[in-house]
Formats: sequence, C-alpha cells, structure tokens
Amino acid sequence: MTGHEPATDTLRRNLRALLPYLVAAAIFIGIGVIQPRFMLNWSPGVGLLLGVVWGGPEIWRRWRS
Amino acid sequence: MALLSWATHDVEPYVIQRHLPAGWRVSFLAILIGSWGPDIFTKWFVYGVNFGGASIRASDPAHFHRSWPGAGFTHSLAFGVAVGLLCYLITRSRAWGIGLMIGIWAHVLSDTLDTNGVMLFFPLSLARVHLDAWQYAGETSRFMDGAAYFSSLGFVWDGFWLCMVLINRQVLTLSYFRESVLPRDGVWKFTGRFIPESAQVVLYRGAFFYGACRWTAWLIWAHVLHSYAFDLSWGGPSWVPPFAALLVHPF
Repeated sequence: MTGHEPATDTLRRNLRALLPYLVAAAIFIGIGVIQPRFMLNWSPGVGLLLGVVWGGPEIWRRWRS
Repeated sequence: MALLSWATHDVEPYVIQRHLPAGWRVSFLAILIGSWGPDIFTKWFVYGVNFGGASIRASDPAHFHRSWPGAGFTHSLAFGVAVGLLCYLITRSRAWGIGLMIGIWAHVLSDTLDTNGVMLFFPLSLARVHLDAWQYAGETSRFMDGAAYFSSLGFVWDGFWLCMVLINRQVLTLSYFRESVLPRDGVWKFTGRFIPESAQVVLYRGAFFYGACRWTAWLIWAHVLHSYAFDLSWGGPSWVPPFAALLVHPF
C-alpha cells in the first residue's frame, strides 16, 4: 500500500483478499448445517480452507501462465 | 476420529499469544495443540465410536470425561505442567513446553464454566471446580451436546472469544504472522521448506476460520434447521436433564 492510496482502493484490495475466505466460509457453513458431522473434526474444514483460499487460486494461476 | 470441542478452544490461542509478555518466546502451534489436547484424547470415548457395528463408549461419560477414576486428570493444571515439562525434556524447546502448558491451562480454565467442572487441583484434590454457567450435556449425545451448548451461555462465551480475536485482528495479518508467529517456532521454518508462505499463513488462520464457521453453523443448525429453545439463564438450558441425575458414581 502506498501513502497516497485512496480509501476506496484500500477497501477494494481488502475485500479482494477476504473474498476467498468468505467463499470457503459459505461452503463450510452450508455443508455443516446440512451435515453437522462435517464439523466434528478440524481436518475437513482446514482442508477446504486451504483448497479454496490457496490451492484453487494457485492452480488457476499456474494454468493461466 | 470424530470429536467435538467448542470454538473457544480454537480461537483463544490467538489472543493469548498476542498478550504474552514481549520477551516470551512461545509457540502459537503449541498453545493451539495444548488448547485442543484435553479433549482430543477423551471426547471420542465420551460420545462413543462405532467399529464394525460395535459401539464403544464410556459407561459414565460425564464422570469419565472430568473425574477420577477416568480421564479427568487431562483437565487439570498439573496435567498442563506435566505435558509441558515432558515436551521440554524431549525436545529442549521452551517455546513448545510453555506453549503446551499455557494451551492446556486455557482449556481447563474455560471448562470450569460448565456444570461438570474440572479437577483443577488434581492430584491434590479430586474436587471439581464448576461455575455452572451452562449445563454440561456431553453424556447425552454429540448432537444434543451441540444443541444444548449453542442454546446456553456457552455460545455467548464462544462469541466473546471470537470478538476478542476481531478486536485483536492484527493477529490474523500476514505481517503479524511474519513478525510474531514465525520467528518463535522452528516448526514453521521446517514446514516452510515444503509449503510456501502463502499456504502457511492460510493454515495459521485455519483455527480461527474453523471456530468462527462452526459457531455460525451450529447456531443455524440448532435454531433455524431445528427449534431448540434458547435459555441464556445461568446454568441453562433447562431442557437438558442435569447430568448429575444420570451420573452413577462408583463410590
């Protein structure tokens, strides 16, 4: 971030960074509500988070390049 | 192995590590594992597991979970000291030894808030310290336990810790991870050989993500999908039978 970055740009950048986490959260909560067994162990949730926030975008970036 | 532990135990470590004295070199991962520890080894037997049609479960789950004889010693201050000391003797890592002890203590102190309580001063005393803020329902079933907890002051307690992380939200930033988490723990440097930093920071945020999502999902499950009644009175919810009525004490 530069010292002269407009507030709207900062907000947009933060929202863009937050978006994958919100997508992962929506998927987690959706599955969890339908099947609470999904929430009993941390590994499926953290796997989902890693896949959506890091793995997915990483594969996309490599495929694009 | 399926277990069930509350969001407090997932998110407390972020706040605790942030507020430790500046000079203390304590591993975040150790605090987190310590915070999960007392339930990792006990809750599967509290709720029961099925192996090829055979069900294995403690005959008296509430007693087994928090008392002696049973696994209640895992919920004591002395257990935290013992695990921390053992870890230090094996690894010579003060950051992990102290971290595990602090994590276990955080778990134990949080669990004093339900009606079952913990043997805080085991082995000096077998008396359970319990503040009775919400009804312990571990002996009912996994899902009834979740429904009861998220209808009582328990979910408020989880919410308090989630808010504490949001107030201290810098703990979730990349710069905090680089400056205050990574340098205090050799494990991150080791895993950094195989996993890029961008993935490590996602893993670091994982426990908060897991806790916050579970908190939301359980609330929706209990109060939108089902209609369990909220009871935010001290010791609620009243619709759960007091576990003492079900508890068959061996003595």
